[in-house]
Amino acid sequence: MTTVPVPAPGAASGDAAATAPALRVAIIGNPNTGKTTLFNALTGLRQRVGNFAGVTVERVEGAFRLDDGRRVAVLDLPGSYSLSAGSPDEQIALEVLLGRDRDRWRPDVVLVVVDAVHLERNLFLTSQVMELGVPVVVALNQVDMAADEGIRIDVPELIHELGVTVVPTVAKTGEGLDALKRALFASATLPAPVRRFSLPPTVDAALAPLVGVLEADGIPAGAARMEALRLLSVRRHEVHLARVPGLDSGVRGAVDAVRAAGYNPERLEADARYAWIGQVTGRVLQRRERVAPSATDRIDAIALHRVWGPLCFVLLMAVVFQSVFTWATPIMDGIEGVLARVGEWIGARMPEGELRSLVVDGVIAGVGSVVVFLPQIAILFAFIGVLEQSGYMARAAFLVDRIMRRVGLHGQSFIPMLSGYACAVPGIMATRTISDPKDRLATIMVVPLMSCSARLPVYTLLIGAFVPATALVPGLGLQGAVMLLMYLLGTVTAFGVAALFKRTLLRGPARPMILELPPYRWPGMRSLGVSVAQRCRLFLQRAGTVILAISIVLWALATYPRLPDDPSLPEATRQERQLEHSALGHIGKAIEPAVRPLGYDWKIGVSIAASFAAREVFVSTMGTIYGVGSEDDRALRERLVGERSAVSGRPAYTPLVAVSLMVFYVYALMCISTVAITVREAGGGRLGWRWAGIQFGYMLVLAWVAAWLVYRGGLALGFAGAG
Amino acid sequence: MQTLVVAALVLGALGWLVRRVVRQVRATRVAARAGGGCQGCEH
Repeated sequence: MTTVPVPAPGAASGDAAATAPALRVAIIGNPNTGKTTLFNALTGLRQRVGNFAGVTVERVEGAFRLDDGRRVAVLDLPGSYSLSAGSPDEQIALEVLLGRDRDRWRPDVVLVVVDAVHLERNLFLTSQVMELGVPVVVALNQVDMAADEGIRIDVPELIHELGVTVVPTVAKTGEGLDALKRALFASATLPAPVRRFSLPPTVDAALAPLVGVLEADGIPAGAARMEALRLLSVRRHEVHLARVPGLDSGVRGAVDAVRAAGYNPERLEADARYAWIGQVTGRVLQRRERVAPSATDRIDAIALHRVWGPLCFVLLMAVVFQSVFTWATPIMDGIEGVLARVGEWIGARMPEGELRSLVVDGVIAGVGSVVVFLPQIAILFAFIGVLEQSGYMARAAFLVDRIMRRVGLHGQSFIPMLSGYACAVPGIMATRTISDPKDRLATIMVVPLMSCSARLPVYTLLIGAFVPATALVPGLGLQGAVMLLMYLLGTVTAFGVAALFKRTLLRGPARPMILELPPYRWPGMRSLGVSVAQRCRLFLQRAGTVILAISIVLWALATYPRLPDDPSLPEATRQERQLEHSALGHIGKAIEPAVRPLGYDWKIGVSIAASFAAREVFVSTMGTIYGVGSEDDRALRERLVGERSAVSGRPAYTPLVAVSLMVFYVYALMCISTVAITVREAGGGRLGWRWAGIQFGYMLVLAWVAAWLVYRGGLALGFAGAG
Repeated sequence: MQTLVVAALVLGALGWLVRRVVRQVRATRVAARAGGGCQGCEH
């Protein structure tokens, strides 16, 4: 492969350059071309990277400076295969590129990231962008993988064919980035590229009136020609063209005229572009015949096998969950030890009184009980990062696609549901890649059923306390298996509920998914570290803000009103009576009848109620209740195991209660942020609130009924219930 | 004195939580009207 001669940077330098207006660059490319990796490498930002399509949903902005101080603003647009399909994320890209997004600047240069392994497919989008009247630079990315695949691209010939600068890059290692940065600056001063193929004269004549309509609305000539060709096959009215006068009749006239000229208007654009692409690739692309199957082929023979594939997937996930327990325990013990010492140290130095109780029993017990789970969050997301970046998650999508189609969900729903394992908020936002509104809504309704990271502290607290650490097979223990079961329960239920929605309120056909299986790659350690650090930072941020504030308020509710002190009673009884007399105790007792049938006492009831703010608050509330209500400073897990019923003297919590509680948390939508995002993404206003209400309601009913069935079923089978 | 500090902390935390919820609801309304944009939560 030949490197590209890139023009030297301009003469601007020093202070003048530092204050010069920024060069504005928009990055666009097919999904999974390494676009976000390139964006991160250019800007030093920390956007999430995955080896599957659809990671970038929102526009993300960053900036970098050249060595001479010149500043470049960079906008990362959602990945799309073309500008023609009309999904919300493709519309975002078009609005920005045509300068019709009021909130965003129009780029001076568009950087098109092209996957060297799939040049032919990537050139479709490139050819569309090249017609928009903005200078274009092509980053021919993943050239190392293309070389490994036996693909040779004649770069100077490609430059000649496209008429734009092409820079071979390997975003993961940073290869070619300096040349790319220089090319961006140099290209800004070059004329914008133009369409490289011609349409038959009769088609040009048929499209001319529509081009005129678009130009009259201020769309540049080249872009108007691209839009006119595109609109022949697009059935929807996009936001950026909503106010173009005469557009409807213009499109109808063009469609009729093209048909009268003997062409199929729906296929015209694809036929014309792919005919040109075929000529280009014929000149620039050489493929070495492969004799032996590649490593990816050999791994996929097992990973995608009808029987071994799903089995490998389940085993892999079980090992991941088991590792969360095995590896995190020593670090958790360490954090618990440090927190206990901090509590003791502060307790010894502060005079006895309400402030000391607030700090030790409220803040340290509440926030500390959540912070302890940081190692588990880090380990889980490190594993998920490895699976995503290696390309295995795309195989997982392939494995579940058959189920998804059976329940009536579009294959595009997989990525939002996968994102839901981290957090339902980005998961619901990721549904913007789904073009069909009913499919999108059905996905929004089930994304919160995927067990998010906020449930992890609840699961691990209860599993760590009540599920024995016995080994089932080497490398897999009972604790990991129970955790896997909770994740599977949420996922399987999500499919069931989606099927129900698709057959009732959101009836519609299932569509096949076009799934790209990328070659396996070694995960980049840097981007892996970045994504884990980002997850941990978010977790600590929540602990230091929302959970801290809630812990303080709950401490007050658990402490006041004060009961007159009765020195004749033992300390433990006095504290228990004070807790029951407090506002929190009264609230808990009011809630208790609703949760009693599930085997929960008022302490669990009030913790569930508090966790409507955020699920982790369940753990911090239990921490605060046990901090205020006892002198015992053991870790929360041990206290839950040792808790006895004041009435019967039997253990207040048993493994059956713990499982029932976990099932409750698998299903219940205890998250204000998710409700807010559903309101917004389901249409906003009354419509949004209606869907959010349906979502919240069905999940709460499901949670209560499932937890009741588990508890009552367990009792019937002879398991010990609550004391 | 301790009681005053505790009262200030509790009221401060409560006020912060209420303001946060109000801001989130308001941001959701604005974003829904505008048809996009971030709602200002920590995600």
